[in-house]
Amino acid sequence: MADGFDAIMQAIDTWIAAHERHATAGLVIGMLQVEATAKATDAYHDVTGATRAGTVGYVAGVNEERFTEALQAVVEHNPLGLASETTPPIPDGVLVGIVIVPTSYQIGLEIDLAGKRAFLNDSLQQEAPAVFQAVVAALTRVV
Amino acid sequence: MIDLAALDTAVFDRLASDAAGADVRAVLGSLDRSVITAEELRQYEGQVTRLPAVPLLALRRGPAPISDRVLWLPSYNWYAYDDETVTVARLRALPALIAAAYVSFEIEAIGVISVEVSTLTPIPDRVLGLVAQPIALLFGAF
Repeated sequence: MADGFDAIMQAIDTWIAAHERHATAGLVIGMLQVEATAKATDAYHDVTGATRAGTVGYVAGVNEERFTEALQAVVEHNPLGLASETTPPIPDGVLVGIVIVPTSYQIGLEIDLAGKRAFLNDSLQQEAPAVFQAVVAALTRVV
Repeated sequence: MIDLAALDTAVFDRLASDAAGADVRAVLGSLDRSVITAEELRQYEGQVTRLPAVPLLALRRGPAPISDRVLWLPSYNWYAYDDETVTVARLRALPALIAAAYVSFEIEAIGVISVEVSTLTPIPDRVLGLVAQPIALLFGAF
């Protein structure tokens, strides 16, 4: 009897893990789409190239090496503009997609003059349905 | 495709002139004259002293993607501005008042099924020398 119960629980765990894996893969794809839209913007004039090169969309705790690459890109293009803050802590059990530019002046682009040069939040809003669809599409492939 | 121009006007008028926005206008520096568009606000770059009295609100339209072939998700930001030298208490009062103003938001020719209001912590606008608080509106419309 115990063996049967354990087998059922193991099957459920496997099923949940498969969904988490597929949802994560879908979100990774979705955040790449957000990043592509953010990089394609003409909302600002990129003086050093740091903003465009440092624009990155990734999933916290999954492909964070892309954030490290974005930091490196900012260092290469405009070392004095590197943000001093790191990304916020992410609670356990939550899948979080992030689009960010790790420069000290990005918040100014998003805020100053009522968002005259804003593009990160816009990109996220624009692609939100596509991100959702990417996650759903990945989940439908769970067998 | 929904009529975004009509929605723009309705979203703006809600706070600028409609009765539903009266409580918001009451806490602004110069009532309806302190409700402007983002484009209008940008004309004051370099001449901040000519801005309408703070607190003031500037409306910026965001993206309007489509979801599920029918439902549109138009977004807007009200940028609330106040003087850096005063407490941010006046700004912090605005999101709730704005959310209340968009309850039962109905306009002709567009079906609005939801309005979500969210906000960020007040942040300095270094160009204007004021404190800004973006207050986001996300509509579900068809």
